[in-house]
This record gives sequence, structure tokens and C-alpha cells, in this order.
Amino acid sequence: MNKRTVAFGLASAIACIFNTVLAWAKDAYAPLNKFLASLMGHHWITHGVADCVVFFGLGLIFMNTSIAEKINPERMVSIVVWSVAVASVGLFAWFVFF
Amino acid sequence: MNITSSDIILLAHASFGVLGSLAALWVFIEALNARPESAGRMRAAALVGAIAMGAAWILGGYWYVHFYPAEKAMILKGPWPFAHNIFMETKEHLFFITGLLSFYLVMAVRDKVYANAAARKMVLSVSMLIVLTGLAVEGAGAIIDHGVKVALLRGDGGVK
Repeated sequence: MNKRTVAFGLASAIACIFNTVLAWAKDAYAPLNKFLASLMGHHWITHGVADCVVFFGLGLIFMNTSIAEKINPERMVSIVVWSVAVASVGLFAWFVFF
Repeated sequence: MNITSSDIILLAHASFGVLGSLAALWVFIEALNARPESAGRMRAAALVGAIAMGAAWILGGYWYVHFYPAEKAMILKGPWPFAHNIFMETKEHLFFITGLLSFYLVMAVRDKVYANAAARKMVLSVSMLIVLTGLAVEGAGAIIDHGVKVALLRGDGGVK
């Protein structure tokens, strides 16, 4: 697995978790929702842009550091799969129970 | 016939979402039998998927910001408020995950998928996650649509 696949794989895992945590925070704390809306006109637009910044930003940072070389490729697959599963179920569960 | 820009944008959003999910399924099938000669097809399918998901993101976002508030009000007054409170709230955030994975898949398929077992496993996993989250988002869209329908048929839905 090349460096780019690992670097952006790790970035995608972090971005997915970040996405869910930000969704929880927005829903639980209305002033944050308002603040995000004030930045780009709608909280959803700011949220999407923030996710992209985290994904592409961290991916580029990881590409230029040694962190990607330290992660076992098989483990990287598990990290991505589990982060997407936890982030997805976490979103649904939040809006069902809270 | 009266087809509005709202109708066209909404249907185009859903169509691009389906196209993106099908492209991810195509990548998954190519990765199952990954060979050097299939690498080009896999990269093309991943690119088509990312472009389709990007289009679904922009169109869906435009519709959500400009047209959804009226439908949201109908849903919340109707008999299926959970169509917004659970399914739209989940869908509008889950879609970000599907979109990011689609962008990532374009990078992952540039690896030597036919020669590297871990890279192949990554492409198989990510493409299947796109299909699954894509289907969940499409299903949520159908429930939201039905939430509007039952509001109009059974609730006051603003039509009394």
C-alpha cells in the first residue's frame, strides 16, 4: 500500500469521526450551529467545507510526515472500516435517542 | 405539465447519488478480479463515482438550503415528524461520509490493487462502504419524501 493510500485513508477515518462529532455538537449546542451558519450562510455548508478541509488537509500533512509509514496497511483497512461504521451508527443513534 | 427547478434539482441530486453508488459497485467488482489490465477501468469508475457524488453534494446542498425549509415545515406538522428529526438529520450528515469516501476511492485505486493484498482490501472495503452508505442515504431520501406525502394527505400540510 503506498504512502498516499495510507495517509488519505487515515485522514478519511479522522474526517468521518470529526463529521459525526461536529454533528452532535451542533445539535447539542445551538450557539455553535448559529456560529457555523454565520460563517458561510448555512451551518450545513460550513460543516461540509470543514469536513473537506480536515480530509484534504490531514491527508496532505500525513503524506509529508512519517506517520503513514508507521501504520500497518492491514490495520489501516480496519481503522477506515471501523471509523465509518462507528461514525455512521453514531449519527443515526444520536438522532434516534437525543 | 409544471416541472419546477426545485423538481429538477432534487431528482438530479438523487440520480447522481445512485450513479455514484453504482460506480462504487463497479469498482468493487473490478477489485474482486483485480488485474493489471483492469486498473484503468477501476480508476475510471472511481473518478466517475467521485464526480457523481460531487454533483449530488452540490445539487443536494443547493436544494436543501433553498427549497427544503418549506418541506421541513410540512413534515414537522404532519404525522411523520421523524422523517425530518431522524432521517433528514442523519442523511444530511451521513452523506458527507459517502462523499469523502468517494474522493478517497479515487486515490486508493491509484495504488497497485492487483499486486498488493492490503491495497485491494482497502479498495474493496471503501467501495462497499460507499455502496452501503449511499443506499442508506437514498432510503432516507425516500422516507423524507414520504414524510411530505403523508403530511399533505393526512396532516394539515399547509393545504387546508
